[in-house]
Amino acid sequence: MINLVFNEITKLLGKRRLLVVTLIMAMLMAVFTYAQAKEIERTRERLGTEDWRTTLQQQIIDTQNRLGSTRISDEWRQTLQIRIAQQQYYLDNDINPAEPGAPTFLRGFIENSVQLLLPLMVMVIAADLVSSEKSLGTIKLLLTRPVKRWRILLSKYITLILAVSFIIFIFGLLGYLISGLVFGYKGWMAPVISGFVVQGGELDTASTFIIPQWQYLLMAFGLAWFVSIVVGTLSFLLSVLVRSTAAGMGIMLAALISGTILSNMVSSWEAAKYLFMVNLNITSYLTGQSPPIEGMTLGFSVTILTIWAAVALFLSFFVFTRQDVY
Amino acid sequence: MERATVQFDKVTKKIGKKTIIDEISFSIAPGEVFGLLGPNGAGKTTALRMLTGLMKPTKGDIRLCGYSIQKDFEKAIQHVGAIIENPDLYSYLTGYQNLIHFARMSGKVNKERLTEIIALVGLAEAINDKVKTYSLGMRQRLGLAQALLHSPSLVVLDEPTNGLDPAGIGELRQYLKKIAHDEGVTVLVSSHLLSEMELLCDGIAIIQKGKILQIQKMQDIVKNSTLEEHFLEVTDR
Repeated sequence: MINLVFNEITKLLGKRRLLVVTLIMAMLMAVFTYAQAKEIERTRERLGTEDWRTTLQQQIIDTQNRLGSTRISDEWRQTLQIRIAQQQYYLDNDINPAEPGAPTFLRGFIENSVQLLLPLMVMVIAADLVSSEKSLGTIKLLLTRPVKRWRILLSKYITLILAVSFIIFIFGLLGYLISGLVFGYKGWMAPVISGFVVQGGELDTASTFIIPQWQYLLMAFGLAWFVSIVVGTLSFLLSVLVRSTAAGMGIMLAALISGTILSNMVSSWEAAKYLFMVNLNITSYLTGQSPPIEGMTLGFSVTILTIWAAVALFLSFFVFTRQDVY
Repeated sequence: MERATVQFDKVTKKIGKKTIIDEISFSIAPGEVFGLLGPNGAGKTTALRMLTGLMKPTKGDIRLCGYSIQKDFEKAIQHVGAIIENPDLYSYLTGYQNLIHFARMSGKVNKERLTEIIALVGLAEAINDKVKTYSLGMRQRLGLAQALLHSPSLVVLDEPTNGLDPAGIGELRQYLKKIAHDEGVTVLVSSHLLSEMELLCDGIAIIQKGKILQIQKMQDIVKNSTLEEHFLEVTDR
């Protein structure tokens, strides 16, 4: 089995996909670091102070002004109100929600990447693990060896898990190194408030707790890893079912993008919460944003995603060990 | 009698409602070079796909060296080296990486064997280049190398002379005859190049529309006509 996994890794590296993914992430990190540095600079110019309390106070006032506008949808109003309540809570507890430094940048970046960017990167790897063998024709050589088909597929799946872990690791490492150039490398111990609960559009702060940032990051990256594995498994199934890599990627891309759109508009369609793509924004439970659909919790999303992944994995093996190869 | 290396036993393959292979039975003795002849679309490749376990027969069974390809896949397939259709290899890897890849899957291949087989197919100079830089003939040679790597007792070649130049075809023919007659390796070839098959094969089966029309020894055919005349006569009926 180790030999088989070794083979798969050789092929993965030969295709240079990991290299491409790493380069894309490095470029994006640089762009976002620059954007954020600009943003901070602008705020400083506008307010004429470096004190975070003043800045936060000003943000709250700005948001309240927006709430005064009549042309604002109810859902958006709710989101903004929760944001204000959270910022106020940080202010009351005298904790800076955005302690400058690379770890804080990383925290914001992983929260924003978990729904689309990371799944896309994982998809690039997973979608052609099997289908590329079919379109190249090499599957005929692969399957006419004294190795059972399920072992071949398992070796590919193990490779996928390794690749996903590598992507998450590189994501963290690059984000830290690149943003640190601008923001400095400190801030691991900065306190972060977690455990906000959003209930009926109200922010409940009863069960909040304060943890150091490194611990928060560990949880966020753990969840991001989990989401990536689930998306990877689903792409893997498509890769088994579809002969062309492009078709598999297209289907997965459509699902992922529809997920980000749906998350913003399905609050009245309750059954949508069983779709995997609505559950991907899983780190939002740590920050305490209102979920896309009332009643969704961290436990619920993890369960739904696990079920989707388990079914996809079962189907992959079921189909792969039985299908005729042309 | 010796146990047959390949044995098709009333094998049928249907895809949807279409019958691709219709109850074919034949067997090949060890050390025989056997040709599967037939026009395009006769079912040659489908038969070879079932033989190598890529497809499941709808009915019937195929045995390789006595092992059923369906029930004892690993034992049956370990005796087989095959090129089905084109010699498709990983174009983004080097020739050597390709061979190592398949050697790892077969287990019992060592470095000496790799060097030996590379020299045999005449790729020693290009083996560390990426396969995408290879010509069709070089790919065909590399395909042959991966098929022969684990010293199989049955070599299955689908249109093996595609893309080879006349000298290459001659060399391949000499080599296949040598391993068959000296080392007892069974060779199963499919082709529609009749003149080539006449020089290469000991026995042939003519297949058309999924049915076997005739199985004969080559020496009996060429006694009073050429293979081409014989083939046209049989398939015309």
